[in-house]
Amino acid sequence: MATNVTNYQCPSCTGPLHYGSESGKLECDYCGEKFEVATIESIYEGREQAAANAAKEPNWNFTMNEWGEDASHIRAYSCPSCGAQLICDETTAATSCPYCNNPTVIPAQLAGIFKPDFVIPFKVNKEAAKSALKNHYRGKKFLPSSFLKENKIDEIKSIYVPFWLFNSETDANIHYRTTNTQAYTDGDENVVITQYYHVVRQGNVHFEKIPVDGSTKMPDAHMDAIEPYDYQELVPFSTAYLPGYLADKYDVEAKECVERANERIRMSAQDALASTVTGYATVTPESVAIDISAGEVKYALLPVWMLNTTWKNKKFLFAMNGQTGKFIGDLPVDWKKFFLWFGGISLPLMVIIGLILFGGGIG
Amino acid sequence: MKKLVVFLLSMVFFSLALFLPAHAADLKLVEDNVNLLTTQERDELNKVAEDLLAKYQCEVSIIVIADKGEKDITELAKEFYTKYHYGYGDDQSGLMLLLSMEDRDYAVIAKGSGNTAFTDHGKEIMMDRYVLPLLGDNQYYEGFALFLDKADEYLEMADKGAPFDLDTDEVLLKESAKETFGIRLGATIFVPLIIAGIVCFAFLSQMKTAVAQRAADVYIPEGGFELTKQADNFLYMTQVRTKIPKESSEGGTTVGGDGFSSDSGKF
Repeated sequence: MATNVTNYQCPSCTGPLHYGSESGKLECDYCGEKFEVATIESIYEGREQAAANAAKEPNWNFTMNEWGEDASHIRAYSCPSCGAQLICDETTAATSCPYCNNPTVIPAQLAGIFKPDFVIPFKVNKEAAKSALKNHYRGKKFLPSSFLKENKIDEIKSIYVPFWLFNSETDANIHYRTTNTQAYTDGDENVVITQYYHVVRQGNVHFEKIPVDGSTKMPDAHMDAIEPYDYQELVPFSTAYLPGYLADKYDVEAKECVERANERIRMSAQDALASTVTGYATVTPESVAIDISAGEVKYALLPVWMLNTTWKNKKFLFAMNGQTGKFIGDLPVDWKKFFLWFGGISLPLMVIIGLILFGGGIG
Repeated sequence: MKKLVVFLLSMVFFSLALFLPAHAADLKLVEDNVNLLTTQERDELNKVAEDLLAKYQCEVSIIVIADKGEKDITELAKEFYTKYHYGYGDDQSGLMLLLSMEDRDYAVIAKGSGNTAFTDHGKEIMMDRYVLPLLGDNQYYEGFALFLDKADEYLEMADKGAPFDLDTDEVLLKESAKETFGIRLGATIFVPLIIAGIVCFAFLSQMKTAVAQRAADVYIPEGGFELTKQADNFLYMTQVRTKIPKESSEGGTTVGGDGFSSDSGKF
């Protein structure tokens, strides 16, 4: 028994559609277009599913491990200045805060901190981080000259940064409006024929270990930019990997990181389906239904080298992937150099093009 | 009622004209059937037209009628030109402007050497640029005088071997030169700015490397994407037809099988 009545609208002019008993199709009262019933049902099915999914929250599994016996080998510290919470093994002493460089960190309770599921051990050392910083400056045309001379490294720290790793099975159902255009000349007229299509793509996308950093001290853009890590070297967590390194305790719960993971999942699911819609001049999504399900969340410590530098009383933060060596960090821009380059390219080009076009004489 | 009177008057004019063996006897080069001109103005214009005939052996005539009826203005002008023996010499060289006042239609036709002097572009410019603005303001004497003046100018140019056309229209050439200059100047300024902008912004983007990720494509394992449904349904089709704008021709005169070239429209 039908529970509601849908007023179908014409995909061409949005006029009301009625069933034509002679044609066996849905016909538009206004523009006269005729559509197969299955086609219109398919369009509306996509819209209804998109509306249903919009209200549906993905159901993530947040089961975490307690420290158990390992707790006796772990020390916890907190920074009274910036509030960072750090853990390290019993043989490593935290002497200063890696974030704010405050020299006083105080012991804290380990309670309330889950045990990581995985860890990727550090593979690149401090010298490599220093060398990567120098390489990072190379070839940067707009880097202020004084930055190279005066910028000094305040601190280089190796930190295991807490990441939440999201696994997901995602179902995507996207309906597109696409067009193909054909243009030709008929006598003294230009003719443009546009064909409109309703395109449906449904698919399943499996995501493995999308990382979202669980530390407010780490800028999200920096942590995203040093991705990806090679998960083949991901190993079950052991305190054996901690000696000599500090580990940041997560201060953003996995639940709070879900939205960032969902955003990336939705975007990639849409990209994956869109990549299969080919052969059209224009492709416009009409309805998007993304169902993120069976999500499992794991907790991992991933290695990061952090480099703090100061130039003209301004702090600069650089980060390096402690496994792959990928180095990132924003640099200051010398706008004088920018405009010199801009003028240096455009003015000679103006002269050359002017000489070519005006042939040595204007007018 | 007014329309009927005008039509009857036109018919009377045509009927009288039909019995005339040749225009030279009774029809002048400037014939004003609806008294747009004073007698003096008509005589002055006739004098100018006769001078042109003497100077160039090409008849330039102006005919004004009340109403062309259902006839096509160009066809009527050709009929009139032929029936009343307008044109000079064996090839009937001449140019005729015919106005129909009721529906404000005009036609300009040329024949014989008139086709050489009055090219398609020449006729179009003569009317659009000079004569029609005056006729549109009901300044008939001024409009006809300018028509004859321009005819003189075009005939003189043709006499010198360079008829008024696309390649001799100085206004057009100046406009074209201005347009070309503008395009070149624009290219000289903006192309280098765009190139410099692309290069500099590419360098600038190297300065900002801490950028958040928007997607998670790298976390889709091999075989992690499976397409379960794929449907492409045709909905409908639209067709848009637009007239191709007339490109500026290579000049010259388009002469029909009857030996006439023409231009027509409303004033």
